[in-house]
Amino acid sequence: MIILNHIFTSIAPKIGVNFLWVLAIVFAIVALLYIGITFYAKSNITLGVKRNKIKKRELGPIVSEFLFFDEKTASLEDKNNYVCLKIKIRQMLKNKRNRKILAEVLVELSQDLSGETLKSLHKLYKDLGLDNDALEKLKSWRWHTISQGIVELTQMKVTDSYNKITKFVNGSRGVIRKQSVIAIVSLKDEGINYFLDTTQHKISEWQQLKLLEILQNKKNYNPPSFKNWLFSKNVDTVLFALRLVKHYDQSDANSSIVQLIRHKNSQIRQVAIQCVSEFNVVEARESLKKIFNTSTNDTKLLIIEALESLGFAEDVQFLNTIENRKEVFAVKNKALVAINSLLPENHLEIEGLEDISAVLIQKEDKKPLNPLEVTVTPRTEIEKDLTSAIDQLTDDTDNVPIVNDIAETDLLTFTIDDTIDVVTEVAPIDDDKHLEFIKFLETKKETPKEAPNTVYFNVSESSSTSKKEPENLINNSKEALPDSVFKSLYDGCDTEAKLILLDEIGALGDEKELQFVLSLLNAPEIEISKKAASVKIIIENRLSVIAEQDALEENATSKLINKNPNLQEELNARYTNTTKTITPIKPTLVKELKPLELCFLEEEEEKTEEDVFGFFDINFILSEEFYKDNCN
Amino acid sequence: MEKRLLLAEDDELLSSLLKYRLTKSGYIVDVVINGKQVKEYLVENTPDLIISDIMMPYMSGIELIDYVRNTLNSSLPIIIISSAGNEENVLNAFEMGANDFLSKPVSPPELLIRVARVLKNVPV
Amino acid sequence: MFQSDFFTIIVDYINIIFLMFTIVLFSGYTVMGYLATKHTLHYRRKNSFGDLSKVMASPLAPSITIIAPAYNEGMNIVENVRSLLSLNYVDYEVMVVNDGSKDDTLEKMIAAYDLVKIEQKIDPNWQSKPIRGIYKSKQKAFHKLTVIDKENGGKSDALNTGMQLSNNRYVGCIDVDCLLLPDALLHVVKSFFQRSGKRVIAVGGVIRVANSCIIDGGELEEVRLPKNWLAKFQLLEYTRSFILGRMAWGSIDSLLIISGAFGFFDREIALAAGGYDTNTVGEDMEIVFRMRRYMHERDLPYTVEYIPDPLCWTEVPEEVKIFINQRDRWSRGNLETLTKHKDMFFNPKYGRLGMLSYPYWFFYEWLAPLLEFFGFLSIILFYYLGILNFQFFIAITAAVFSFSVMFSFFAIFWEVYAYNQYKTKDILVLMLFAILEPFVFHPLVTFSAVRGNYKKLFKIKSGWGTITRKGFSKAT
Repeated sequence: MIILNHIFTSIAPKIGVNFLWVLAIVFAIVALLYIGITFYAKSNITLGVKRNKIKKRELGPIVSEFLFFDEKTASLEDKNNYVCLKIKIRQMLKNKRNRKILAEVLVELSQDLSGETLKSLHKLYKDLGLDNDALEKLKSWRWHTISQGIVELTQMKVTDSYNKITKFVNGSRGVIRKQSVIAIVSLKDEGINYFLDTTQHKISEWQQLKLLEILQNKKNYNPPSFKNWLFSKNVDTVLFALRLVKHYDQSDANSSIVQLIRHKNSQIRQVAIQCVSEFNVVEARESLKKIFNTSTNDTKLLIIEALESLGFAEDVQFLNTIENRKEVFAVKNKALVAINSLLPENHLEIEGLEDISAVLIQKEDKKPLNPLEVTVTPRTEIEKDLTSAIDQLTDDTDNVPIVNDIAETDLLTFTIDDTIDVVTEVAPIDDDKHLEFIKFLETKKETPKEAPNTVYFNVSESSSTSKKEPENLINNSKEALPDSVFKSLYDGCDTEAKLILLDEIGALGDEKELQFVLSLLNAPEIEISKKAASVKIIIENRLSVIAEQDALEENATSKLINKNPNLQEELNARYTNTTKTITPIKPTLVKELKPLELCFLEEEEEKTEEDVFGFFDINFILSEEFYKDNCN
Repeated sequence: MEKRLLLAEDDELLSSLLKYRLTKSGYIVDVVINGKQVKEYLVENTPDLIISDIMMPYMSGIELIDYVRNTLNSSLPIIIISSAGNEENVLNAFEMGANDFLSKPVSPPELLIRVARVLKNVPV
Repeated sequence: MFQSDFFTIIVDYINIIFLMFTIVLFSGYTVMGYLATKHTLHYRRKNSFGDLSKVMASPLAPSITIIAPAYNEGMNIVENVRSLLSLNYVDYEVMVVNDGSKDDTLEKMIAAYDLVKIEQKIDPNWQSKPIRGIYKSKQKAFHKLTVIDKENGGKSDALNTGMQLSNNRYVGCIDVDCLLLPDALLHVVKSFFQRSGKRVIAVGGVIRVANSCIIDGGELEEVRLPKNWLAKFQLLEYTRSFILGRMAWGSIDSLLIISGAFGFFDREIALAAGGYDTNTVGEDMEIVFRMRRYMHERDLPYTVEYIPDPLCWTEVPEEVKIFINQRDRWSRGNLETLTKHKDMFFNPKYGRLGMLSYPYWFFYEWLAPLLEFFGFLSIILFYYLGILNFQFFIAITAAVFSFSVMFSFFAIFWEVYAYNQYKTKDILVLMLFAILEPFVFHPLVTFSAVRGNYKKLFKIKSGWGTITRKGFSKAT
């Protein structure tokens, strides 16, 4: 025990009490020091604020005098005063502190002023030589001084400093880098190009937000085509460029957008999907569905939203699988909403439609289609690519494919030879326009290099009108537009059947059905008018999708056709304030319009062979002003 | 007779600049820097027009309109100066009875035109 | 004779433990002060030329939901919500979750904001207390307001419900009686958006003491020093902990707590991490632990941001009883969170989080008050046994005391430097309170912490302390 005791005693440290006292005293002294510093700082801050305030109060009126001095209207006395003031201020500016405060005053005012006054403010800043101070700051080694200089030059729009600032864009110090990017983008229009071309650093969301804000505030700004940066090496550049594409509605980037849907960066994916909704990029549908399973919930919601806005009734099947699968509630719910919007009484409706398609397929197995009901439209390769999204049928002409999705049964394909047969069947109809069409087709046939033209005809229409006599149909196609095939059916139905019929129209209808549906908006039965309203939207969606899809491959001007102001006005006047416009009519769906289109077709044919289908869009011409309006 | 304007703006630099410009055009301008001062001012004076920033300490522009229209029961014309992103407030201001609005950053020539127009439309 | 020697040695060892603890504490706080200083200066310079005001109208600005749980807040709810609705931001929603209040909270809101029940589908699998209804205003002016009426389930449950029902990218969890400055959301968005390499999963901010301040119509008109003594001490404590403590932790990205009164989260991550824990009273700390772990375990680059600008003002308790209850709850929450995540303790897998933040919380936030308490007891015991080393005791007490005063003064200096909101006289009063603190306020805090731990460890059931609101509208 004693040994143990001894060990303890020897190990047990002796605590330096004195050391603790020294510590206590040192701390106390430091504490006293802090009291001093605190009050010194406080009075300094308060005094500084006060002094600046006084100086600013003094300088404010002088600045006003300068800004609003107008040589033309000023009296002699005014002019004298002005000169005196100028001398006085020059004298004042010899003091560095005064220069600093005046620069501050001008920068502060520049944030609250606009128009001519702002311009004279910028001019005053340069006249007084304050920009030299700011440029001097750029040479400092302290990051915040450099940044301050950059901010000042940006605020005062000193364009000459552009080249001096560009060297900071890829500098190593973050704050300077960010400020310099903002500077070059706001100083010159080409700044954004330079930035996107050269930046190697990440671009924070905040910076993107600021840069977009600057671009938005530019007057008469003509944005470059941002798709050029969509495959930049810098992921953030891609993201930002994509956002700019979206913001400036640059739909010439559609094919890139489809690729970006599969980008490894989730933010890019999400923005790309939003672009799909916004620009109606129909060809993205398959990609959207493919990435769905591997996406996060937020992305899933966006995908569903996109599919909904694209408005293809056949996507309901896909949405249905989501709805029935193991997904989180929000996703399921969204899918349900989308289904409802694509096909207003979802479940029941879908089952019903599937039944109909089953009937259709059976029928197709049994007998060839009635040639009289066939709409003939030649297509080029380009056209084919274009509609491949809608048209999932193969080019295999012998087997009529089994189609699950109801809307797809609209279209079946034939070879050109079949076409001619069909057309000769149509020929007896006493219509010059048809004859011209046949002639056209025959010339096509003679050129051997021409790709086999495919022909569309409307199967579903044939099914729904199969009870009718062929004569009816001929009549139908003879009249240019107004009556929908559904009209006669509709007229002979009771309310419930009418509702079912309306659903059918929603799934199949096109332009003329739309007219018919519009006439039902004011139907006496509430259910019918309600239904009609929802069906109207579906048809409109589809038509605008088709229209825009056509526009995709066209050049920039024909793209604008979708936004034809006259048509928009007309539509608005006629019914609701719907933003979607029904425009270039897709011939595959609107067969009655065919003869009319043929006129255009012929014209196009004379010009260029490739462009033969440009007529789809030729209906409208748009002024440049309108384009601008729409972009802003 | 010269028109008397009340300018309520908390930014001293801007208010001094606007006052200068308005005075130059022949108006008499009184400047206050917050809502409290507006109230005090209105007790003793009746300006021909109030120009007020929408964001002010102690009383927002909206409240000011409410105060003038409903508490003072006055049809005194009011022009609101609002900053960007405040569209909603502008709507509110109009609903409350503002006569016109101007957005920040301000263009002094525009302000002059609006002031003249509002004053012209006011029945004497 | 032997016995006496033995005791002396034991006492010596105890002394040395205390001394070590104190020295680590001193150096820890010194480093903290240094980091906070550095970071504050950097922050001030960086933000000296940014202008926030225009950003809110940008198409890239994110959407935010502010979730404000309300339980028996009938007295001030209308006023408080109105203040929340008038923030300077475009794309935001105020979601008040009425957590089964027993008073007329809901009725008052319905009357004041012209609310009507709306239909909205709710996830049937969502694990929270049943939702009784969702309300929106008929008036366009209040379209940002959503009121959720649900059965009582506690603060965490209410916040989770709000998070689940929100569709926005970010959610803010605040106390409904907090006063947010108009620019608060702009600062928050900036913090979320500033980083480019890391994902900002949460943003916290300074909480300032609003007692005795003049607030009118939901706006802070004049900052005043609290009249109440307890509130003054708390102001001092808040200054220390927010201006120095959290600033320092924030600067090395090891912030482990975001105040429940003002915290914003990336909704996706918050929900993925499981939202708030409903089984703890320290949910505001626990969720940060969990979200950090979630990101860390997936090796995702992330950070938690801290805004030193004074954006959120709250009333602190002025009565001792309520104050003790509050602190008691905090320490229980602390213990619960630390227990739940005990595998992080000195676990290098969690980097700084496991090696620095967690141990700090363990030793200095949780253990320190207990040690102090037992140290105090042993001093009394030793005194009676006649073996108290008086010289050592007095020396170490003096050192600790002057250090704590020094540290408080340092905090006051930064308070003045950063905000300069109080008058010279008030600063002097605060300094006096800094000197008194170790004798008056600190024992109270220690006592509450011990009580909380005692309750928790011996399973004494206790819920949330309540704070009787005086109400901002009446604070003048």
